[in-house]
Amino acid sequence: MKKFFALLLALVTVAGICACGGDKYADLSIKVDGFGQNIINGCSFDIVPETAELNADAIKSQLEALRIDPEKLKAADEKPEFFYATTGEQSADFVMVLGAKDAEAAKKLSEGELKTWLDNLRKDSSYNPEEAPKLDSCINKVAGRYVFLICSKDSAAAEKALTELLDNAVKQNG
Amino acid sequence: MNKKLIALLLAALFACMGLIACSGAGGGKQDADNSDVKVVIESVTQVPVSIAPIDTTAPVLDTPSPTDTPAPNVTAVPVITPPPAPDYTVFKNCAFVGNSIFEGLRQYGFIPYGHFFTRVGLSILTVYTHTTTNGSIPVIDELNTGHYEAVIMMFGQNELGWPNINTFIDKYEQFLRDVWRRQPGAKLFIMGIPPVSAEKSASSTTGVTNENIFIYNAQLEDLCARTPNCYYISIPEVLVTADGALPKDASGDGIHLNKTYSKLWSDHICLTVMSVLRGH
Repeated sequence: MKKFFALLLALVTVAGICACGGDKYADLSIKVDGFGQNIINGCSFDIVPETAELNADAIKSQLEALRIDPEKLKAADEKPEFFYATTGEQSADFVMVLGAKDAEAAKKLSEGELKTWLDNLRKDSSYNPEEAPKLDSCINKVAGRYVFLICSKDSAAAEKALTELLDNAVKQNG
Repeated sequence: MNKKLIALLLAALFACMGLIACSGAGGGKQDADNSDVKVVIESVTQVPVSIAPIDTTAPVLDTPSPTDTPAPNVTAVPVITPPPAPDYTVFKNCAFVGNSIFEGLRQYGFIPYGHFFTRVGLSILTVYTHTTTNGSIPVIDELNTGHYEAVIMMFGQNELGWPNINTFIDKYEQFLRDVWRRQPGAKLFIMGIPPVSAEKSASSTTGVTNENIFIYNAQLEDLCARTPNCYYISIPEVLVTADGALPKDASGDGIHLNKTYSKLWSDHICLTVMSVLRGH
């Protein structure tokens, strides 16, 4: 009987650890504009991406080009949670942050429309072959209900910078 | 009394007789040159002239009352009307079709309205075969649906290396017809090709030179001129240096515009389209 309860306790403990480890960012809450700018500041690019002031209509136009239904994103300040910094095709560098309605929607976006978009960008990289490595190593990461895409000249450094920013955000939220 | 009367009568008689004598003799002394001159005293008109008294209180003639003197005409000072500000809502029912130049413009979000059907590397040939970046049908067929007021097109950069410019123009002309077939009544706008940087132009081995761009743009402008309902959107001066190149601070790769110059170009496109669609 004691062995049975010990085993049960061990299993429950392991299950709890697993749950915590896989859901670190479940309660993550960020402002996509500010967070996106922090990503830019923390990464290195050949040409630093810039963003225009995207009003609600401009965001919807961007989402239309990505074939993303605006309803899949959560709204903040009366516009979909969407941050996009680009170089206007001067280079492949860009940063994109999206706030989906929930974690499940974020996962679907990352593996669906955004993956398709990145794959298509890679197909077109023949027009600018020097930029192809950036697209090949482009970050496409989900954390909580957010999706982060970063295309920079140092993907490893970008990954590290993103993780640090996310962990700091969790601490601030917590 | 009688003596006086008789004296008066005699004096009058003698006076008359003297007068008669003088007038009959011709004045007494005869001038040999004027002997035929006769002084004729014309008789005075005998018709009596009645002169009615003039009424000075009333006007003589029935003249109309004098009109008020108009105020002096003040010469209008010419007012310089400032050019209209770009109103991007003009693009609400417009379609943009083109290559990476348009794609780059779209990415900055300065044109928040309209529908973009663009793709990196798109050419006047692959517009019939390739989709947009995330599309599923050829770009040309994206125009099969919807009813656009205008279709704005950007091609040429990927065709600068073609051996014959006439092929490019012929294909563009065919494309315009195919667009018109899908969007009858839409105004068609052809974008001029922006210049590239001097370095890019000097180092290009694929025809991407400013000399070529100049020739292509002249041909595109001519194509617009001979195509009904077609308008040419020129390159604004701010995008061109004195020697016909893109300014150094306009681009990181010498071809695609950065944010600042994309804004300037977007404004220019907007004002040009406004002038046609809204008559500003």
